[in-house]
Amino acid sequence: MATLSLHNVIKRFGETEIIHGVDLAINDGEFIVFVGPSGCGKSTLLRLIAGLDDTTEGEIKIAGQAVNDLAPSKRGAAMVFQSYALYPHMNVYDNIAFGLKVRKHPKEFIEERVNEVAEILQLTPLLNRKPKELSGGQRQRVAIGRAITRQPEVFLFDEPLSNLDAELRVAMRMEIARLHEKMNATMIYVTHDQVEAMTMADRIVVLRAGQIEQVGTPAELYTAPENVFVAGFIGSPKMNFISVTSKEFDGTKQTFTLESGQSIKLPVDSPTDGEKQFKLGVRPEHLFINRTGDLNITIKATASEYLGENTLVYGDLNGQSITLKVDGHQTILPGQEIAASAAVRDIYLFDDQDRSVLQNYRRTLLKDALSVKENKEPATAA
Amino acid sequence: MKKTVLALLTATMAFSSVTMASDVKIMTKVSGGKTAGEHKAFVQVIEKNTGMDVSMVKPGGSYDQVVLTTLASGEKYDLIYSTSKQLEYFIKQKAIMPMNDLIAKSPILSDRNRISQEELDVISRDGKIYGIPNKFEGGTMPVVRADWLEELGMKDPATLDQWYNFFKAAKTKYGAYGISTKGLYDIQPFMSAVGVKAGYVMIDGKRTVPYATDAAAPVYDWFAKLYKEGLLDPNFASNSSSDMTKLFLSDQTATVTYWDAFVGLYNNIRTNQDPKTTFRAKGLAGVPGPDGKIMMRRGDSSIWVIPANARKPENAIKFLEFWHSEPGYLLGTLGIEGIDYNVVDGKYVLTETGKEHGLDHGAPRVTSRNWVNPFGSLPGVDEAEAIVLKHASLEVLPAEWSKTKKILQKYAYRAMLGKVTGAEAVKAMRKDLAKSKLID
Amino acid sequence: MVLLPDAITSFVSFRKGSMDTRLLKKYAPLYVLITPIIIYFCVFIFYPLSQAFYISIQEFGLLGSSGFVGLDNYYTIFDDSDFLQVIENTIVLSLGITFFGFTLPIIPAIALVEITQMAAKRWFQTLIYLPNLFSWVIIIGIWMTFLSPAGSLNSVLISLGIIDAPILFFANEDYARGMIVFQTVWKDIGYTTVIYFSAILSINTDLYEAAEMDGATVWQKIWNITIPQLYPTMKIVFLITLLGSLRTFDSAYLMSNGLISHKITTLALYVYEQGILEFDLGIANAAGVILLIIAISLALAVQKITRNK
Repeated sequence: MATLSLHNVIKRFGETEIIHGVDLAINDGEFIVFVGPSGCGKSTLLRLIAGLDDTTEGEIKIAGQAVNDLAPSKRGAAMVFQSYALYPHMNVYDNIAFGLKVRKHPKEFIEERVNEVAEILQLTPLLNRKPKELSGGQRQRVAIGRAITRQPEVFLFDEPLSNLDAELRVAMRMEIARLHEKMNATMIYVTHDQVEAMTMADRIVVLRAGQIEQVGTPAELYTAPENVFVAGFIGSPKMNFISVTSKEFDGTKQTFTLESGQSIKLPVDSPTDGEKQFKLGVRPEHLFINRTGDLNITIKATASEYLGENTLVYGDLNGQSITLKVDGHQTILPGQEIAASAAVRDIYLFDDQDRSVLQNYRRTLLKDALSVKENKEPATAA
Repeated sequence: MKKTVLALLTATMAFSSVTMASDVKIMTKVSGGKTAGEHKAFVQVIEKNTGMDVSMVKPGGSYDQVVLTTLASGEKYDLIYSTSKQLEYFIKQKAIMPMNDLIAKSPILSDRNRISQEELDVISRDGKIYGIPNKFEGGTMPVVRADWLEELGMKDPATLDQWYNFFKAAKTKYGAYGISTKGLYDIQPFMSAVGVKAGYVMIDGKRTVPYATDAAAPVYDWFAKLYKEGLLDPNFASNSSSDMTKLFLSDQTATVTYWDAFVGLYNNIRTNQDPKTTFRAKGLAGVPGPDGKIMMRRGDSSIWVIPANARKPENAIKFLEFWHSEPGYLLGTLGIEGIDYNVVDGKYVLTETGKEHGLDHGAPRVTSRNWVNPFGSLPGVDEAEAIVLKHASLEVLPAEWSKTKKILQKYAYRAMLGKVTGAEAVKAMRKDLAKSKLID
Repeated sequence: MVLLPDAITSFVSFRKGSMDTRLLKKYAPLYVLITPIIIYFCVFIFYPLSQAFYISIQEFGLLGSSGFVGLDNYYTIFDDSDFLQVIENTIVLSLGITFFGFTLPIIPAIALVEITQMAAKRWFQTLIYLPNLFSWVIIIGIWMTFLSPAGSLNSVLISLGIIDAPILFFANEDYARGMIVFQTVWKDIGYTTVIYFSAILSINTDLYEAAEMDGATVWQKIWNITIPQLYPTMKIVFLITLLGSLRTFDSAYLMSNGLISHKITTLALYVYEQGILEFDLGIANAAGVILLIIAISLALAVQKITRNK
């Protein structure tokens, strides 16, 4: 297994620059997820690492060796495609064995390896089947098996689960996680699904428009987003943003007023002179109804979704949409006015100009910020 | 095949729709105007001379097929141009009518000075005359570069060895082929050397094919020698007459075997290109056989036949009477006055068009032995024609000849290419012919 | 179109007499739409076919039928020693044309995919498709000129001292069939290439990338991905080429001469010779029916074999 690093990687297709200088260091055995909305360049970045596209500028190193000029097969990387890319006319055995056959390994060796992999992936009874005779999950396992046999330094997954139904997706997610643990391999996994990212990753790389927005553990991204984009992208339902205007500073706290007229006093590191626009961020699960807190708002419900344990309430606050996650038994009718509140420790303050985070009150208040170790638990146990 | 028939049928129907309600309806191949415009004028000349409203259809290609499909479709024509090759088939199918009575009633057509008995015999079966000849038929012969012979100081070749020497000399001096020929069709002048005749010959009531006899073998070997030494145009199996003409007119071959009439045409073309040319084509006789007899071949005759379903056979006769009288002779040879020729002070002068058409509008030579072409004939033609008249005779070519010919060609070509000997070839021919019951 | 099976059922039930006029009314536009096709088939396919069969059991000449002769025409054909040769010619030419005609175009099709320069790609595509636009007369004309004893190829070979005497491409029994196969394949290669080319374009590119990750060479990719992915297309091309090759006529007709005709006279040409040249329509149609039977049996056999694959 190996480390992997990207140094100022740039990709242009003709005149159009798709990747704008990405730097990234991936540790040996780490499970990295590239996440971002479609068109953010996550798949392109993966293809650059795989060598399926040429890097325009910058350097890619696998296990310390620059691989820019190496053919894909020489980089020690294996890839699992979204479409599985199984050879339709070959049976499962031949599909898994193909990479070894191409490399002219002895027959006995190939047989041993294929059987071993088939065992791991529970494909043994299916070895003589053609891909069209397999279910989606089985095909996915064959695709993974094909990657495994070659014992690559790095595994690359390009949205491997997006063609599966929800139930299978969960099962495969766990299977891949289990595989990662077992093989202790470096894996890079591309997805647009933040749930997949949160549950599987050691570290998540959030990409937007060809640039890295933030790199961190799932907990870091959840608790300490560095900007509005990451704050909004990670977490479901997404974080609420409320426009506020800065008012007077009393030496320790600055007053911010909402458009509805309510105000809140918050400690700030660097006070603002005069009135300026800011954004408050608060996650739906941190807004409570029928309770008084540091931030108090009244919203008008527009719709609600009953999810069993919880109910999602969608409401309107001066033209800004607000989502609340309340107890499942709560009944909220459209048009109903709801008073909701949040504690300061659950509030983020964002600069409205560069959209970066200014104050993370959980951090401010609880000096001992969450460590990577504690928060790794849910990712691997999931 | 259905498609082809259908296409031909539609084509002929299209023809016929334009040509309804005339006094006589004729389908012709070569006899007529060379272009659509000239053909119109051609028909007008006929109408003026016969006083009939004439419809004369001249289809483009695939003439024989058009004729057959027209007849099969029940389309009614009064007169059709055809060849003696088709005669057997027409008679067998009862598609044409005997013309004895019609001819007997016509002083012109029964004039043996206009149409000789011999020519009528060719078109007769069991005493019934089935057609009227279109023109005098010549024959095929070796046409040589007389100017080269002269330059080489050689006399007209008269034995296979002399021919060989001429070919060789021509190749050495002019870098040309000795001879260019087109299949088996035209090798008769050389087959004559071994006294062998083309087609079928009946011996004691049995059908024999002389080209498949041992006697013919040495001639195939002789051709093989020519081929091996590069004296024979190697393209002989796939040659067309235009290929041969091209070679001959461009000094690439010393000899071609072709129709007597072409001697004149060749001379005419080269003289038109360059009045000072030394080029001189000349038709020669075949090689005399062991008994001194020369055997050459006459061509298939072009004939006019009256379909069995003709509406106005008597009008067809009127046309034929015109065709075989003075104005018809002029029309068939020189062409149309004012287009092809003009009469200036009683002298016939060809126009440019007339020169291009080479004195041929379907009947370059007429059957009448008395009529003299007022323009005269092209240089070399009369001599060539005299040779044909003296030595050439018609062959017996029954219906099965088309199959027989294929077998002969297959082995003759192999022998001429030197792949087998002449003796082997004729043996194989006889074996195949017997197997297909084509000889007795 | 999805409605069609339903329409057929309704038609069938109508025929059975259960007279569901409501359904019939519902699908009336569909019946109207397929009527021209049914009429077309009846007038231009089924009627001529039945006529062909009818004529094949008659003595049939210029003046039409002169009586029913049963299978005599068929006996005559099979008695004709040429006919077995004709069948052999047809089959050998068909096999040759089909084999090369459906395998060779794969090469330019792959080349077309590999050529990335647009101008070069268009140029190559046009060039290879060009012969397909020519009629057979022109095709044979081109090659006869190029390969004749005095043609460019022979002249070059002779002047280079490679050969002493011109090669008689069109007057050699050993080359005759090869020449037909070669010219047919040359003429059709552009057409088939386009079919393969579009089929290759529709292959999932992930497959190639997966193979690239596996370290497959260009050849291994062609052999393990392109060719297998082309199987369905190849089946169709095979059938089309096979049936087309059975109809070989123009090329053989135009190339034929006394030396080689016995090697290249195909069934279609035989039908033409008997029907048009000899005007023996009974024999011609009998031969036509035999050709039809061969074509149908081969088509069924091919479909059966390829379906199981």
